[in-house]
Amino acid sequence: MALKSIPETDQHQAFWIEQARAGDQQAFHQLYLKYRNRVYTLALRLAADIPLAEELTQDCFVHLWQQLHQFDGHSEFATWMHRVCVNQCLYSLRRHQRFWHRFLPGETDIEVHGHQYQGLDKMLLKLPQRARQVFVLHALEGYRHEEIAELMQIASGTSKAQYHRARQLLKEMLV
Amino acid sequence: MSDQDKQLEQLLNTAREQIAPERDLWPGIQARIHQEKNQTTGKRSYRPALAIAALLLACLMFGWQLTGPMSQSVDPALITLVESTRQQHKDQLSQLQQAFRPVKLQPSQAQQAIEMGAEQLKGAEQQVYQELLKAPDNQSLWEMWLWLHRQEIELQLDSQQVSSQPQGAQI
Repeated sequence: MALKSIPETDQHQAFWIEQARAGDQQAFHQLYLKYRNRVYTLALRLAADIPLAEELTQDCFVHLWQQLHQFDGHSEFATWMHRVCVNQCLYSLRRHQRFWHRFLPGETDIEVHGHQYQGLDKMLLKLPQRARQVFVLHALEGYRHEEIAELMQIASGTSKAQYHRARQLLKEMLV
Repeated sequence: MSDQDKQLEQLLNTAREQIAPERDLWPGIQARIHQEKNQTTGKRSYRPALAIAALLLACLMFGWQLTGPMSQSVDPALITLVESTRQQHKDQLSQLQQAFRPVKLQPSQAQQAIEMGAEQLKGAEQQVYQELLKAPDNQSLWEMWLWLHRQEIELQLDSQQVSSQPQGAQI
């Protein structure tokens, strides 16, 4: 149980952002408390692996701390943060895969863990990595295929194809 | 729309918006922020070491041009570079360990996990080091080895973070 409550208003959040930009780690901790679940959910769905999702979440918040000075307040903080986190997750996943590819050149997907998840999240874990990432970004996070193409450094046609592949595989799981 | 399509849409509509991590990730984030801060303030001290490494590499390349490739043989200068890099890493780890000595007699579960992780990293580092001695011109091995060194340092910082937290501390 946290002794400091999570403030509900935008004013509080704006105050934390300003404080965190000035180097106050306690203020940044409040932002972490507010957004950790959202960032972790994104990381888990993209990575399909709990330890890796934890690592990605940490990467995201470290990167957010480094990039806070770039937040100009013209857009919603949550929107800006989400975009930074998607970019960071995809970057960290590429780096992670490159690293393990040296040891396991034949492996294309990371071993899937997460038997405790139910429903859609359990099914997502079974999808191939690229199809899962496109599906999560399009169907759950609301990104357009053109945006996904830019984020994942692929063609938008590839994004659409991967999305339909993911849908097809998910539907087969439902039969 | 097929039954499967309808079921999938329903699953999408009822998908959980947020999943909570199973452990507190803040100590690791804080340690990395702290480490980055230290690295920024201590950047100047790394410069001579980087300059020496760059000079050494330049000398090696020049020597290679003069003498020609040694075919299957291992370049002794590269072995020296491996050894000195390893010594620097050991010194850095040792400095971190000396700067912070936990006073708790009974290590916590988190500390035990960190110690186990440190042992595994140490074992991996030793293995890659042995491979690097056989092939010191292998760039991938170098990258992997330096990555392992960074992980050892980060784990050491995590360990300090865990040890310095009072038991039952809340935010």
